Amino acid sequence: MAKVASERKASGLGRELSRRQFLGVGGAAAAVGTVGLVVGGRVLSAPRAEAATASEVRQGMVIDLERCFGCRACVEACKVENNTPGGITWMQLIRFEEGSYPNVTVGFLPRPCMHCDNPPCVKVCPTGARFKREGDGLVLEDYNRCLGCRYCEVACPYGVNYLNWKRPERNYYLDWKGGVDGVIPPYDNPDHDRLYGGRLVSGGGHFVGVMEKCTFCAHRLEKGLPPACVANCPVMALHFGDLHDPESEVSKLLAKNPWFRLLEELDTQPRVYYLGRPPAGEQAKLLDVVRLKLVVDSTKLEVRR
Amino acid sequence: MRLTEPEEVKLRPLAHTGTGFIVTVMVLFVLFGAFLYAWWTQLTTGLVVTGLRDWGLPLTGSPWGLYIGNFVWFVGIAHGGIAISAVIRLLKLERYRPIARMAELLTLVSLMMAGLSLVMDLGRPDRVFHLIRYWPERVGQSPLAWDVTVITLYFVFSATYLFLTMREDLQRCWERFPGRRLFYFPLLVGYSPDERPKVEQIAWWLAVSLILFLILLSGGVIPWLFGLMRSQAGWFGAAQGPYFLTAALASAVAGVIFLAALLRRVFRWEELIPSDLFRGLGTALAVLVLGYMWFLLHEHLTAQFAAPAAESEVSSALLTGRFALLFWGMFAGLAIPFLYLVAQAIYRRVFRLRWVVVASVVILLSLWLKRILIVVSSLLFPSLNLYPEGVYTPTWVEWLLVVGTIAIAALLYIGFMKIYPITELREER
Repeated sequence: MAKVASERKASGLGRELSRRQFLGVGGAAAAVGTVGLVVGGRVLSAPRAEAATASEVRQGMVIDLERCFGCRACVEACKVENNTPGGITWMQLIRFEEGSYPNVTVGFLPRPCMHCDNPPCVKVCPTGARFKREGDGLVLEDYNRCLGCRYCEVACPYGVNYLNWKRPERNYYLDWKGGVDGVIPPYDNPDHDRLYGGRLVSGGGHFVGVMEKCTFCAHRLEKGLPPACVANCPVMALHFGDLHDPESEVSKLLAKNPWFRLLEELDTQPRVYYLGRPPAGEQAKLLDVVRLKLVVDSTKLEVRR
Repeated sequence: MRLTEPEEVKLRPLAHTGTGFIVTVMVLFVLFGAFLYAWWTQLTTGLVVTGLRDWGLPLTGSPWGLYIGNFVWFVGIAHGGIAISAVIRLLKLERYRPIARMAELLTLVSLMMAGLSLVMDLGRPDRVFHLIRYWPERVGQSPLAWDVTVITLYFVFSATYLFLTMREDLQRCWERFPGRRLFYFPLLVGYSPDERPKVEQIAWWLAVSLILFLILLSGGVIPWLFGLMRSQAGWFGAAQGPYFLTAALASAVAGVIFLAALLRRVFRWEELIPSDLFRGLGTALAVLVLGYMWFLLHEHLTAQFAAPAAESEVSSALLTGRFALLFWGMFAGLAIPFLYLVAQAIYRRVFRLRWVVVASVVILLSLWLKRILIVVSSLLFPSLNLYPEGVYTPTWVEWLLVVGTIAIAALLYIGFMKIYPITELREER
């Protein structure tokens, strides 16, 4: 079969291309190149929602760490308002101590979603379920689109994303459906059932297996109300408003006080500003960390030591 | 058409069914049943039945774990096959020809299992087609969308390659195995005996593009899944591409060695597949493992010397901390087989097929463990150091699902071997 061998040789690169083959290969190469350019161009021009037009609202939060005394009223308000599942805290309070005895100070740091202007979670989402809303720049999750791949959670440096590990039934302060024992009624908040901008983004625990996180209470903003955590803070440590408007409460606070943002070196451009001294990183020791453990077949949570 | 004696030898898997076959298939089906039960549990209860949890407070877990590690591992193995087969074709390494199709099939089966691992990991597997539905708007940015794209293309190209190069053999089997014609018919549509030169030509180009895909997939989109994530210490870095590529190629060659040796033994193909061939593959494996350990050194030297605190924390946890036992176990699982593979490459008298196979299996398992460590160690050490360290313990559901993917891979492989010839029938080359 010498013939076959010679034919195989002819199929190598050494052979001259006929015009038809040349057009075919050239066309394929051109197509690949075009796709590469298009994709590359889109990656490089990934939307970094910069301080856009002056008319646009830029909702943000200012948290005064000097005023905060770690009562967790913000955490409670969030859980009640959004009915998030057990073991999930869209607003989390971190308590820590710094220094060594006898020079010890205690610090508190409430941590909502940062609603970044350069959000890594939005970039990595394979379905566009995580998006940055036009108009006020809130970073929201579309529960109807989410796959539950948890890539946003991995990409976020702040740890604000929470998956619904369990089914919506029997997993809540108030159950989403059915109620408990015919005594406690099911949870009911029509605000969480309606769409905002055509997408289901508000409230916690709609479906099993989707990502959820702090929405800055998108459903309350709609009515002109501040987020629940801000409204419930007994010492006015939390402030909310339009960072673009120089007359707003938040802008005035930022103009008069030194502030910092978390992990600014990652260039996520968070919209949550902290007044006061940043926690001293390595030296800060966590206090009374409550590490929770989900229990598979019970509504209860266990504390993990 | 009468088949020749060597062809009959190659068709042993189709012609004979022994007790070994029946026992193996039964065991695999039991494992498959366990897989189904575990997945059913996960689907009906939610991902709460796994050991995965949200990282940070209050659950202090790891959102990715065995499933994603398993995914990366299977993608790595998937390169063996087609890459080896393509290299055999491009460089005309006729000696290796008998293992070409075994390797190609390994690629297809591994890619399927990689996809399955990814679906197992989803909170909403019922929405998996959202990946395709929203692909056009997301492929510009999401590394996961890139993965889906390249894996799909790689699968299509590999399947086409296998299909085209198999048609001639199917034609020869048509008379010999009339009972299997149902499976041959769809693949033989439009077959003509003089299509060979054209098929060779197409296969040549497919081989070239598959080599490019390999670099794009394991040296590109898979490492980018991690290397672009600045949020997780231990992942972000420009070296991840070549680092992952060496691991992928090493696990691929190891997988082919194991599989070819197993089939050689089971079907008594000692004449068909000379043992010397494994010596060559073992040497290639040694070079790849050396490359991998070289990258490992780079990674940890950089992290230990003057890296940001979070980076060195992850590295120290691996070298001397919580993961030290797993890490050094993994390292020994690379280093010791490596030493043997080098020895057998230099001194022919040290070469034993059995030991090369053992070395390959140990390397395969070590690289599986390494993939899990890559995923989990970084996720358990948050960059925002106000959070405590996390905890991750895989549950029985995760173990059963992972073992299940391997069992399904074996079942698919065996099923294919019962229907189609697993080595190329043509002799005259």
